[in-house]
Amino acid sequence: MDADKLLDLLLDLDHDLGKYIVMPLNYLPPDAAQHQLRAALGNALLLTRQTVQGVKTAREIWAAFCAETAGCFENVIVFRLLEEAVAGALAWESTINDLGYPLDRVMIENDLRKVPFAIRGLIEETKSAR
Amino acid sequence: MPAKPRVLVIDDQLAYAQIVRSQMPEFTLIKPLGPTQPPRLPDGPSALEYLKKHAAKVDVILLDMHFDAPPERLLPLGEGFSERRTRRFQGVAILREIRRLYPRLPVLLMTSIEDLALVDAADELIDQSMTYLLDGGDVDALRIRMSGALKEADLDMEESGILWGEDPAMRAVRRRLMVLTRGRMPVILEGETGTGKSYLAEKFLHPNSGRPGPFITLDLSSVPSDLVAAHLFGAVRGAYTGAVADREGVFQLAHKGTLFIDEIQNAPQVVQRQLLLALQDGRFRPLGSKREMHVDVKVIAASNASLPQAVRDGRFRSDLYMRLSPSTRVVIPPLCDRSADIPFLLRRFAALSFNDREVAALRDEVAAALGMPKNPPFELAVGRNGKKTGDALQIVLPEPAWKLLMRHHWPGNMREAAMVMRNIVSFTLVEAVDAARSGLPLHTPRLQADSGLVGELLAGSKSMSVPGDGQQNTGDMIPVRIQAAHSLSAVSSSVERQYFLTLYRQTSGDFAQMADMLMGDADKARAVRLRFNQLGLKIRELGKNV
Repeated sequence: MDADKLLDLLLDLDHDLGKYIVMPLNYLPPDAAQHQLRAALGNALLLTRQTVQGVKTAREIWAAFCAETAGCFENVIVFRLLEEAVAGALAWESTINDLGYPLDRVMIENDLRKVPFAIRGLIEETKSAR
Repeated sequence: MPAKPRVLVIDDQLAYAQIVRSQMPEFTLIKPLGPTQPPRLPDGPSALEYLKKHAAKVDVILLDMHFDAPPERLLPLGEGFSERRTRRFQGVAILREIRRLYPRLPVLLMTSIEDLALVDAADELIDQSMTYLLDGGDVDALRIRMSGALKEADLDMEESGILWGEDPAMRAVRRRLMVLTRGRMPVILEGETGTGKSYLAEKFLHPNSGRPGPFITLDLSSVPSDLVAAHLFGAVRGAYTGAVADREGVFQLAHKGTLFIDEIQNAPQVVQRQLLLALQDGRFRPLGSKREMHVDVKVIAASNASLPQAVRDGRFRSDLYMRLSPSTRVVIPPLCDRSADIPFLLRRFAALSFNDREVAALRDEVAAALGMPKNPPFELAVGRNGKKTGDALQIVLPEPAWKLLMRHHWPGNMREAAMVMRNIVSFTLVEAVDAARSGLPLHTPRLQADSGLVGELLAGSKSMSVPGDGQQNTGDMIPVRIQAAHSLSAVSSSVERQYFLTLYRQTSGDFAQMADMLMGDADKARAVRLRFNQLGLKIRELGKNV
């Protein structure tokens, strides 16, 4: 795959996943209650991209990106960081419906924000390798 | 502003609509597709279709940048944009259409300035009034930006005697000045002579600064260079020949207020050094004094020439320019760049001069001759269509005279426009007064202005009115070769390529200098560079031939 196409895919990932995985929590009021936090986390991970074409979860967006770029990022350390960041964010999926599990907003935000940060790092890496 | 402003969301995603609905109860979220449908419009065509019928019911638009719409639902962005890029920057295409059709509708585009630079749209869109950017942020940032946009939409053409008009560039100036009024940070006002720099400083910046002290002005072009320091910082008796008593400088006089230094580009080099020190911490020594003084002054520095250019030419100290802070530099557009405002401004200047003290005597004499009460209302009418309405005293400009005014380049800017209109009003009244005094009866309150008079009034400045002949821009002539091509856009691209190449050679490849020549702003070098790329000019190859 040529570098321009790869960059295009990364910029789309930045938008579809990077932007929308953090947005619901960014726009929560500072004193949000547990149920608001849980709903925002659900929006971030399960209703990540909602367009007229339908809904895509964060997991589906990431899987589609990995399938399309298979083999392109072998030995790229920054990609490993992105994989770890996405895995860390997706780990929160299991807590969305577990009403007995108290959500820690700071921890969730820290984990989710690593995703756009890692995507931008990979974009820069890909640009400089062009 | 309506009690509950109505927000239209244009976004393929539901996220922004959900935020407005759940967290911004002070706004009404429009449901453009009906009560049971998601409260947003998912693409450009549906948004334009909706606005065609309902624009008057929308107070502010929240517009996303990226739209995953099918190709037939995407507005084009121009040549060279793949379908994927058109999707990614679709917000720009939608915004361009909204700006074209609804220039006064506030739009908040959810993107960053870096993204706009990728489509070479940053300058174009940022300079536009009613367009705001917000990237990321939180609900408070969104709320503040939306309220600001709504307040600006409410702004009248005229505010406390300042004629902002509706030209987007001038509205952007107001927005920027409003921010710069606060605090002690100095402000640089740049603009051709007559654009109203000192008026804006006195009538807008100072009153909005909240500073309790006075507004003090010093025009450096009117002070002999060896006395500039004394005027600025004061002097003790005997400090120089003729200093027979201690005198206060403008820095002292403006304590806790605002100091407007006009024509700062004329400051002698030695004074520039002293100014730098005074700006740094408000400390200075009056001429001949050992005692250091400390004042709290907000400085507004004005120049009718480009300060970045003066720095490059070595006429202005770069450290002083940096201390004045390039980030607070505001360029007031010349009147010829505010063509949409010219009819409004001319009418307003005519009305203002009608109430001038000297003109008022003539006005009342004409009113008396017509059997009208003193101080009648005024109207400026154009041509035969300008029918009399109510009890106003009208001055009727023949159509050709009005056209002449519209075509004029106004090298003297607002000052010239005000003077020309004042002269038209007073000369027309003088003619009527003369007629009345010689016993001729006046029957109609429609006084015809002399067409020839307008031509004569404009003739004086016409020799100066070649575009680009202002003091800010020397308007160098660049020869270009026109060659027939398959389309007009190909011809203009070829012409543009030629002048960019010429500029590149003239400036030895200095993009900052080119940006300054083209846009009066050296900081826009990146935009020039992007244009180079778009025109297919390869900088690496050009470098060999400079």
